[in-house]
Amino acid sequence: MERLPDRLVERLYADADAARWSVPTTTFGDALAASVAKAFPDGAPSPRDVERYVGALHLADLALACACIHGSDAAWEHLMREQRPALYRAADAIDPTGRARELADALWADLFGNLFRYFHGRSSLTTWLRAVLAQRHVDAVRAGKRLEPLADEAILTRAAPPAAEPGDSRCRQIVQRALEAALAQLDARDRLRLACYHARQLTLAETGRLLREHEATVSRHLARTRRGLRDAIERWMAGEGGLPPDEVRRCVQAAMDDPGPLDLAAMLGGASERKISGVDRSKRGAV
Amino acid sequence: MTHADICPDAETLAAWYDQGLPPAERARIDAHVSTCDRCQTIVATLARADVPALVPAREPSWWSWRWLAPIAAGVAAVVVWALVRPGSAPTVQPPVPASLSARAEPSASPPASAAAPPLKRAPEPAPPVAQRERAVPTNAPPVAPPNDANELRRADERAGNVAFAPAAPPAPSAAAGAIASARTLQATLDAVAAPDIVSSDPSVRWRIRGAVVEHSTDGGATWTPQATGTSAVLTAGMSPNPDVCWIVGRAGTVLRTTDGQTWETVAFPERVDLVRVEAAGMSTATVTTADARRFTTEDGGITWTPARLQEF
Repeated sequence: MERLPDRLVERLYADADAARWSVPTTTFGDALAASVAKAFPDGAPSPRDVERYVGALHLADLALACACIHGSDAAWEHLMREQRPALYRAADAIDPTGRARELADALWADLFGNLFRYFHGRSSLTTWLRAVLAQRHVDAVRAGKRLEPLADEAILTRAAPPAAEPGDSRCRQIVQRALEAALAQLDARDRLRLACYHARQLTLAETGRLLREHEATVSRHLARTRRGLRDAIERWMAGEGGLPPDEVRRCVQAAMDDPGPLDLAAMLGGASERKISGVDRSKRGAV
Repeated sequence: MTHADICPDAETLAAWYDQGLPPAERARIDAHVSTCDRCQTIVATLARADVPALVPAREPSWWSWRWLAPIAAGVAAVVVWALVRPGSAPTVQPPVPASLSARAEPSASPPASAAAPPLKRAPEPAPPVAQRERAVPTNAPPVAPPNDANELRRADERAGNVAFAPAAPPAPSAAAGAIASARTLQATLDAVAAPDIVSSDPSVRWRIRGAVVEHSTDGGATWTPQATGTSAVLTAGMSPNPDVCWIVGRAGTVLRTTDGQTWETVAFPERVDLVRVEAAGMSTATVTTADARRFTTEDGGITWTPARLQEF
C-alpha cells in the first residue's frame, strides 16, 4: 500500500475537517492509501488519477470513521447521534417485523470491532451502513430459504397447475426459449432496469434512484425495452423456432394467458447460483 | 471464473449506489448486478431502505413574515382607493372551485406508455416494502383499471392532486413537498371519512371510519358498527353485491364479508399499505398497494398474483 504525498494528505485532512476529531494525520493518510489501493487493484495509478480519485471521496465521513477507529469519544457520540437512527430507519424499512433491527444491532456492535476498516469513503457512511445491512439481511434470508422445508400447503399449491392443452405447454417452452434469447441480447442497463422494476418489484422512483434516472425516464426506457423484447421474441419464434406467423401469435397469446412456470425474476437473475457468493468472503471478514 | 463473476462487496455496492465508482468499474458492476440474483436483491433492498428522515416542520415565525407587512399595507391601500374612487364599479369574479383549479394544473408526468400485451409469471413473494413514496388513498368507488401500472400510478397521482392539492401549501422544495404530502395523507387517512361503499342495491352500503366499518341497510339513514377484528386504518372498499364487500387498509389489511354481516381477515403476502380494491365477487378481487402495484386473487384471497408482469 503506497503512501500518498504528505502535501496531498494535509490538504485532504483540512478539507475533511479531521482536526475536529483529533485524528492523527498518519491515520487519515493510511485510510486514504487503503482507499486508493482498493480502487486501483491492478496497478499504480498516475498521481493525477489519485488526486482526482481522493478528491471525490466522502472525506468527512472517512475522517469520522478514522476517528472512531482511533477511539475518539466525540466521534462515537456524533456517529451515534447521526447514523444510528438512520440505520434503524433502514432496518425497519427492510423488515418491519424487527428481524432487520437485530441485524442492525449486530452491525452496530461490529463497528466497535474492525468493521470500519472496510469503509473507504467511496460512498457516504449512511449508504455504506445501509448496504452492509442490506447484504446481511439478504444473505440471512437466502440462508433461511435454503434450510426451510417445503410446507405441504406449498407443495399442494404448486402441484395443482391449471389444466392446459399439450399444445400450450409446447408454446410456453418455445416462448421461454425465445424470451431467454431476447433477454440475453439486452444491454446490461436495460436488463438491470427490467430486473429492478419487474422482478424486484421496485417502484419507478426507487428504480430511478438506483440508476440515477428520473422516473419518467425509467418508465420510457421500460416501455421501449418491453416493445423490443416482444419484437425479439416474435422474431426468434419465426426464425429459430420456424413457426408461421399465426402460430407465433397463438403461442404468445397462450403464454400470456397462462405463463405456467415462466418466471422473469429467475431468468433475469438465474445465473446467480453459479456465481461465487460474497457470503464466503464475509466469513473471512470482508463485507 | 472471471472478475465479473465475483459478487462485489457491500462497500463497492454502496459506492455504486452513490455514484462513487469510475465509469469502467460502474459498467462492470452494472453488468454483474443485471445477471446476479443475490446482488439484485441487495441493491433492491438498499433502494427500499433509502428512507429519508421526516424532519419536523418549522413553526411559522412572525419574523419570517414581517417583510410582508409593508407590502400588504400597500396592497390594501390600492384596493381601498380602487373601491372608493368615483365612477368605479366593483366587479366580482365567480370563485373558481378548488377542485377545478387543481385539475387545471399541468401534470409533470409524461403520458403513460402504450401498454404492451401482458405476460404473466408465477407469483413470487416480494420482500417487505416499507418505503412508500407515493401513498395515495383512493376511497372513491374504483374506476375501470388502466392496463399499464404506470398509467394506474399516474391516475392515482392525478386523483391525489385533485383531492389534496387545494389543501397543501406551496412547498419550497421536493423534500418538503414529500413531507407535506405524507402529512396530508396521514391526516386524510385518519380524519376524513370515506365516501359510502355502495353495493349493487343502493340501500345496502358500508362506510369506513378509521378502523371501524359501519353498515347501513336503509340507504345511509342509519348506520350500525360491525366487528371486523382489525385495528388497522382502513382506506378503501368495494361491494359487488349486497352480501359481499371487500375492504383494504394499512399494513396489508384485507377484510371480506360474504354475508354482509360478519367480516373475516384475508391473508395478504405483504405488510404494505393498500389503497384500492376492485372486487368482482366473493372470490375475485384486485388490490392496489400504495406504490401502485396490483395483486389479484381469484380464490377468495388464498393466493395472490402480482399483476405487474401483465404489462408486457
